[in-house]
Amino acid sequence: MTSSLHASRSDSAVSVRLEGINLSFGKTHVLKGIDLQIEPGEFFAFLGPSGCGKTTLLRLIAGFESAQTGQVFIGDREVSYLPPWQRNLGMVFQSYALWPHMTVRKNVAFGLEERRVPRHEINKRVDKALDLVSLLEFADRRPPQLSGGQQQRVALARTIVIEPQVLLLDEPLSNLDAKLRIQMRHELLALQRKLSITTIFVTHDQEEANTIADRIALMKDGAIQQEGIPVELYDKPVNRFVADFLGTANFFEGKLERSDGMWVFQADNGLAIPLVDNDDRRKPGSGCLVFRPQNVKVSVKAEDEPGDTLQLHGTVSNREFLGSTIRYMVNIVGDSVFADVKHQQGQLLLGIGTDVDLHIQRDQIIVVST
Amino acid sequence: MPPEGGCVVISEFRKHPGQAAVMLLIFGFLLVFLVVPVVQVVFVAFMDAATGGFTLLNFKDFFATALFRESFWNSIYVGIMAVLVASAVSMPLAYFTSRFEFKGAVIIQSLGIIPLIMPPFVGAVAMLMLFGRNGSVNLLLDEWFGFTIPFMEGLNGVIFVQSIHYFPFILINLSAALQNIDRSMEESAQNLGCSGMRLFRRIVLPLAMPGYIAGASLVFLKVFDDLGTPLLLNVNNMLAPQAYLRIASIGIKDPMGYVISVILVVIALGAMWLAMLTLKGKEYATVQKGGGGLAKRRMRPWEKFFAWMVVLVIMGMVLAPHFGLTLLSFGTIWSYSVLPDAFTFEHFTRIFTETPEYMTNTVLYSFLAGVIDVVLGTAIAYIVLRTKLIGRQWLDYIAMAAVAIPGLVIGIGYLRTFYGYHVPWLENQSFATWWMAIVVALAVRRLPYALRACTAALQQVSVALEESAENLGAGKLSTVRKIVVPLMAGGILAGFVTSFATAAVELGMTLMLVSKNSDGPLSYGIYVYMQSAAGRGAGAALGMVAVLVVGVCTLLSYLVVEQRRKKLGIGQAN
Repeated sequence: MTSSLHASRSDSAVSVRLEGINLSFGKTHVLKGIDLQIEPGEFFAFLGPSGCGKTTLLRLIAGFESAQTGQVFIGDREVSYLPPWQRNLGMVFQSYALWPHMTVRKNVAFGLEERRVPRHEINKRVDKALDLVSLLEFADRRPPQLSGGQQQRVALARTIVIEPQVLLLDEPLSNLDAKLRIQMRHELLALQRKLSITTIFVTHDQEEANTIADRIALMKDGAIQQEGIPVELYDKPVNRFVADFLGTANFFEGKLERSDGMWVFQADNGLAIPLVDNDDRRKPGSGCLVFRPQNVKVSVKAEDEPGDTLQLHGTVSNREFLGSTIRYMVNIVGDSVFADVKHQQGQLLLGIGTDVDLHIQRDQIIVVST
Repeated sequence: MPPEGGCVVISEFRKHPGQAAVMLLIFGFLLVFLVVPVVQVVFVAFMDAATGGFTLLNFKDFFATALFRESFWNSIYVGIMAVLVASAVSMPLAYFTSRFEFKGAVIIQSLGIIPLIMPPFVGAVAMLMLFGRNGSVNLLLDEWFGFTIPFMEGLNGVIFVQSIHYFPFILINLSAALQNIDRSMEESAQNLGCSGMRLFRRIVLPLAMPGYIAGASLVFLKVFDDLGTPLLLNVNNMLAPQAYLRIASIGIKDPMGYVISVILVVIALGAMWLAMLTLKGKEYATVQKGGGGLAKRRMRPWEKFFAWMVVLVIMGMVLAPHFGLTLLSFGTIWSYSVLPDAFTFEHFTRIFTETPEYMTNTVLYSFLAGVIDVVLGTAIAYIVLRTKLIGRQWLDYIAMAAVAIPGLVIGIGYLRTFYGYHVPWLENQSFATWWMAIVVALAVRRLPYALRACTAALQQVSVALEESAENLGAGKLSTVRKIVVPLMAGGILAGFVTSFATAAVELGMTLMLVSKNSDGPLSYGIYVYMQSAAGRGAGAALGMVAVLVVGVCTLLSYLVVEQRRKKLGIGQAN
């Protein structure tokens, strides 16, 4: 059995499939009708606010929870009723769960010992795994003697040494400080690419998910709200929650109506905004108009913009300096709008009370359900 | 095999047959060795000796007899008085440590441990020598001042000995209760004009009451059930000695012993229920940041003097039994004199040469009982905390129920239940008289404490540590063996050591179950020796050994827990 951790293994990476998963704890319905397909070698994120069910879903795949209905497949194998120790998945827990009464080496060797790997091979593989996470010199220390970042890497080494089919990471970066988090993010991604192993990680941090995931499943209240590549969730959210969770957005509540063969959004604040496309699949009814602050052009002088922009007029009511951006809050009739302007050295900042014109291109406005 | 939606109960048992089997085995053990004997005792108390039918006649007879009525009220009186005296002693100490910056606080806290390492009946005879009618103190008082104080007359003796022994429980309880009071409660009263003693009485004491009452009711319970102290002080008109004497002289057919047992158990349950009731819903613990506990202030010189005086007097009383015991064990003849005539080692040589079995038995019984306790304790803790088996909570409840059963009652129960059963490989020896019965009874009595130690230890092990092992391929058994037990080791060891010292100090059940002297442990040996004036020295020597054993065990258990905690890092509980 080849034990090289460096060979490309995209041919042996497996998919993960969930079909019709419903899970309840007593009367609480925690996972609602989850259907998901994760491709071999993908770095997949379960994203969502606290209590959305993302960790429960991960634990379900690992085998620590059982669903009332539905099936779990790893590759072609159905594992729904297999106990955790027979699934051959590697899970890194949020607390790392390193055993304090064993050295780092013994911690990492554990899974191999359970698989009855011969002693000399265990030593070889443990060394390789520790080397991969740059912790070989700490092999004889005990977990309480290591820093948070080091403990996390030991936990990682412990799981990858057994060459699992899938890697499961439960909020791997939450316990680290901001700078270390960013550094570990890159290391995790590099490691995953190197090993070409299907990886699922759980996070509540959308920036984290955006930067390292190939695809994201955004969850709320036990259901997957939207699933796709980060750009798609960001630019084409299917509902208000998705639009709101990923980055900042402007929302106009209101109703979608049909008028003269065109779709018009009648906002509650009084504006009537004709939409750019003639999508027949839409249905009239209440909804939400969404556009991003960085797509809002701010100008002081009246400028003529090309025809298919939405033009708004208002006064600056607040200004936030975010470093690379200035975020203005502009009061328009009946509502307020966030507009982000790129900050360049020397550029003048607009004062509170300034009258401004706002222009948003119509193809950057979308209407979603609430 | 997929679990069906509604059949969660059966599927849990089917999924984990091994765990279910262990649980049933433990239930079986507890049933046979705890539940059945106690239930037997209750049955017999309500049974008509002639017909075998239900009757209240025995109870009627009991309350009709003057001696028994007297014993009943005496026991209640002694229990309450012991609590009151112990509280009277603890109150000033608790007041000093909680209200003032008092350097003597450290001494007070360590004072708390000293009485715990000597069981009351061991110190009883020593106290008699010091405080009895012709004891050292009274002889001096008579000589100097012309009067004596009846410290040890009759019931007073029992009360005196018990208060000194149990006041640390009250002190610790009171201190903890005071510690837990939110500072803002006191400060808001001060803000409204209240201060000093009035504040203490109106605000602080009521808030500390629940904790205090919980502790006090448990002390009452222990005093009420104690057999050794009254017996050794020759005070026979109390419930526990009466039960013992009836069974010892008349036999196990005598219903009175059972009636008394039922009364003891009922009162015990009542006391525990009271303790639970007072604590329910009265969460006065610290809510605010900035710590609980009351504000402390500096002492004025006369306050300091007064406080130190009180501490010294109390220290003297606390050390008195130990002092007396030492004198007794090294003294030759000590009677009608303030101090022994001369000193000798012969008592110690006597116990090691003539009756070494008292000590070897203690080691053997304690070791076996300790092993049984930690194995059962670990298994029960794991089943209760880590599995989802139906009915597992009952394992905990039944095991803990042993706390309410006095040793005496278990002894009587075993005699009654197992007398007819013969040990297969020992001809004609009934199980009740076999020394293993003593071991099992000790184990059952101490199980609650070992169980609490194991439960606490297991709670410190985060579930993630087990799940990560399972994720890496270890089944349940492998995980328990390699991860859970090593991480619990400190608590398990502490539980073992706590159980270990039992055979040295438990007397009630031991007296019932020991059939021949050579089967007796330390506590029994002390009792036997103390029966005669000539044997008092040797009895005291054995008492010193007992104190040593308990003291070492307590120290060991504390050290083991501390060491383990430091080694594994305290911050592993997440």
